[in-house]
Amino acid sequence: MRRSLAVWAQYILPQRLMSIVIYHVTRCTWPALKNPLIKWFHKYYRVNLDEAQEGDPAKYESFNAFFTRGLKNGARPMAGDENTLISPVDGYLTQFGVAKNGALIQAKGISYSVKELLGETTGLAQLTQVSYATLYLSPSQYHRVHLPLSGRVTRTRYIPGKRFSVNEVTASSIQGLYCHNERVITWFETNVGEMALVLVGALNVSSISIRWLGEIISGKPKVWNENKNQVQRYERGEEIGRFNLGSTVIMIMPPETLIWHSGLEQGQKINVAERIGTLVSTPKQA
Amino acid sequence: MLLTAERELPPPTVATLLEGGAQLPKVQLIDKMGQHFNTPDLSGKFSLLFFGFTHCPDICPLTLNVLANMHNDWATPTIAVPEVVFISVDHTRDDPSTITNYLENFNSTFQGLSGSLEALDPLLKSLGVLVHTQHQPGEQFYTVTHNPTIYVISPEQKLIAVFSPPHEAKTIASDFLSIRQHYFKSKVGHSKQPTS
Repeated sequence: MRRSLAVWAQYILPQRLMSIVIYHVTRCTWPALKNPLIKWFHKYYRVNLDEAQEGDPAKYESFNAFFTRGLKNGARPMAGDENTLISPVDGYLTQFGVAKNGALIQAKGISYSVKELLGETTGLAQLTQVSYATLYLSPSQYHRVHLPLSGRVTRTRYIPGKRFSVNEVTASSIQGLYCHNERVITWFETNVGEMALVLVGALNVSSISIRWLGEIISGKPKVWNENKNQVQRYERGEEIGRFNLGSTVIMIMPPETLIWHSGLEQGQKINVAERIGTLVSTPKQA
Repeated sequence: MLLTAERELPPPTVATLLEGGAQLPKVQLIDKMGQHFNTPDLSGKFSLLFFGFTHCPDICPLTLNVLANMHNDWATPTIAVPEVVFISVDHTRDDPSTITNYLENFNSTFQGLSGSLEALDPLLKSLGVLVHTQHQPGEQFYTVTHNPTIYVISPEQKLIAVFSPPHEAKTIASDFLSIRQHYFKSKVGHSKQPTS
């Protein structure tokens, strides 16, 4: 009962208004407001500041700065070499593997279409099978997103939507959750073919920031195509974006480009730069 | 390295591995949507090639049924199921829509190709597929004799293994996983070894 009420409540909450309020509160630099908020959050979610660059919660200039805090150098040692696919975030590996019939698994018994998630029908979206991983970031975790393998940015798409919570209870209740939510998708050209990285917004998340585009403000659908005069290539492990409150990352690649690490288990906790797979280079799709 | 990424599997029990593989020749065929299909369209995935014709009374439906079961019962969520490609050697009767309707009986995701015997010839020769059309005197109906072999094609369009009948769904699935692992291991063995 509690479960269904919590999910149902998300349909009727004035999400846009709440987001605006939360946006301003989380960016407020006034110590009388931001310090108690950070303090409460720090304690309630047992945030580990030992590994953060700034260990003193009062020194963060806003709640958002605290939430998107950086980590100390060396806090996330990079696994393997260029042929190792690494985790893009600190989170929980909720689903991974190969999706059949163009449908990704959201939770047990619920699937959603790759086309709908990516908002297009060509490239990766038209493959019947894709390799994918879904990673959920809980509120206490580090909220910067890193590149799982080196690549060149080919385009970025923003798709507006609702902002349901993406926690486990909601993920197993709302059909097509990740396709309802606001999301930013970036496509990379890599040594083993195309990779799409989907950053899905969540309840209360007022924005997603992308390194080369800055903060993406909610609004109309938009596509940023590659600027041929300014090739953007990022290396494995480099930061490429931030969530300004908890959310989910979905990584999509063609099949037969990687072998999932045999030690992986569904639902396991994983950190940035830990090994999730080994790349096998096959020629790009004709 | 790769060996640590996946648990080591035993060698295939039924399939025969073809060390090094044999590159498929480029041929231009027609897919089940009526579009041109070239051998490079097989790249980026493993395929199971099977030659036959839709009027086939026995071997084709039995084999496609086995392959459909293999697809439906696929139990390895971290590995892509190989694509089944049915290639008709009876271009006269098997147009794209006939092939599409025929494959619907088994699995609608199966690819269906066709081409004249001239167009298919380099592919048939390279794989060693024998096709013999038999006309019964005085009858319109004819039959086509063909190999019942299933050919395993790598993402680089190389023939890397073959399955001879009798075909069994479970064995094809488990042997395929061994073939695939063997293929990736030999590939990594030839290139730079990633460290673990």
